[in-house]
Parts: sequence; C-alpha cells; structure tokens
Amino acid sequence: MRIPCPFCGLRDSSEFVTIGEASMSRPPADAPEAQIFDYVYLRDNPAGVNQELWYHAQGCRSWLKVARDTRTHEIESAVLARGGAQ
Amino acid sequence: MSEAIALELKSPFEASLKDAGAGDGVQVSERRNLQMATVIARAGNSDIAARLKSAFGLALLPGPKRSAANDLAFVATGPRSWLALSEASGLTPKLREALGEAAAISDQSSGYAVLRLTGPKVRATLEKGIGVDLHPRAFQPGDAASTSCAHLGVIIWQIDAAPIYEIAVFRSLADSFAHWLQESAAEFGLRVVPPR
Ligand SMILES: [Zn+2]
Repeated sequence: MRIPCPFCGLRDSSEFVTIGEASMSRPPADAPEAQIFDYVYLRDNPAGVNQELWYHAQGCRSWLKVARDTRTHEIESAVLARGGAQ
Repeated sequence: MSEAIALELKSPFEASLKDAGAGDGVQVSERRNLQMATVIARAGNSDIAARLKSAFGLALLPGPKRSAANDLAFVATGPRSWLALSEASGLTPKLREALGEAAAISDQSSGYAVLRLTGPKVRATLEKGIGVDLHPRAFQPGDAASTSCAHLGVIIWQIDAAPIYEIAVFRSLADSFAHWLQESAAEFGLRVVPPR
C-alpha cells in the first residue's frame, strides 16, 4: 500500500505509523466513565471508507488525515492534519 | 583553571568508507567542513521565506525541494522544516540573526554527515535501499526527499542531472550506511574520491 503524502508524494506505507481512527476526540477528564471507555476501546471499524490518522515517521514527520477504504486499501484522500507553514 | 581544548574535525566515514568491487560504477566523496542546522518554523509563523530572501537572497521553493543561493542551501524536510547547509562558518548565528523568532534553529554540524554520489550506476545502487523513485521523470536536480535507506533515516537531494546526489545521514549511522553502500555498489565498483 502506498500513501500519497501531501508533502512528500507517494510513499510506501512502511514509512508511516498509524494510530487508527481520526474521528476520535479526547473527552474532558471529568467525563463519565462510559464516555472514556468508548474513547479508549470502542471503534466503529467500518467496512468502507474510514478516516484515519497516519504519521509520516520516515519522511516529513507530519500527521496526515487519510481517507482509506478498509476493504480495498484504496485511498480517497490524504491531507495534512495541521496546515503547513508555506 | 581550565585549558582551551582544541576541537578537531573528525570524519565519521574515514575509517569505514572504502573502495569496493571492480570498476568505476559509483564514485563517492564526503562533504567535509559543512556547517548544518535544522530550521523549524514556529507555530503560526509564515514569513521565513521573506526573511531568507532579504538576508541571503535565497528564494525558498515550496514543497520537497533544495533551494540555494551562493553558499547557502535549504533542503526542505517537511512542510515546516528544513536542513540548512553552508561551507561558510557561523551558519547557526547567521540564521538566528536572520530568522529571529520565526524559527527554532538547532546546529547539526556534528549531527549529520553528507556524502556526494555520482557515476553511471549510482541510481542502480540507490534503488537497492531507497523506495523513492529516483528516475529522472520523477526526481530531478533541485528535488529532495526525507526517507529511509535500508532502514536508516536519510535526506537525499539531487544537485545535477549527471546525476549527482547528496545524502545526509546521522553521523552515528555512518558506519552502517558505509557498509550498505559498499555491499550495494560492489557489483558496479565503488570508488572513494577525496573529500571536497
Ligand atoms: Zn510526508
């Protein structure tokens, strides 16, 4: 699988590290336990396009938001999770 | 009571980088006396290009490119980061003066080592370790890439269509990189030429 890094171009997935779904956002520290449990353990794991966070560790060291089809590994889009300086 | 210690520049490749195989397929030389620094834009800051232009006359190209003016080169390593290289002394203070609060600057002169590679088989050799497409239709003079070579982190850029490439590796990985280079270039012949 190759990932189209918006800075580096097409790169082998071995250059990247993923931490999974990009839709997660950390609940406040005083949130109910059920909400924390959901954040830490529960994933939708869709059969289809999934928004994921990938880190280009062996490249430009940017976090990317990648829309990947979990059935085909086809990548719809990859954008910087945070905008660049230029 | 303290005595001044004279620091001597040591090459990380001197002991490990040797000729390999028969033939003249790849020539390698170490770029010694290079000053280097990493430059990382501070959050929200976008006037680095303007500051470089006015201080050094350097036109900073967007994307994974090497931009150069006179003796100073900026190799882009990420959307907000560069490796700056110069043979003139005092690179880090000059960059600090020019960029001020716009960027975080860390001297890397004793962190990275740089090799210059050329020869008719240089691409055939690099292809054995680097996943980035170095064919001229995909990678040309002025292009740069941060990637890995045989699992070692490298920054590579092309400076001439001959082709001539330069590769920066961490000095502590110089032995490993030299070993990989010798093994990979041996079938074409690797010649170590004097440093420049
Ligand atoms: Zn990248």
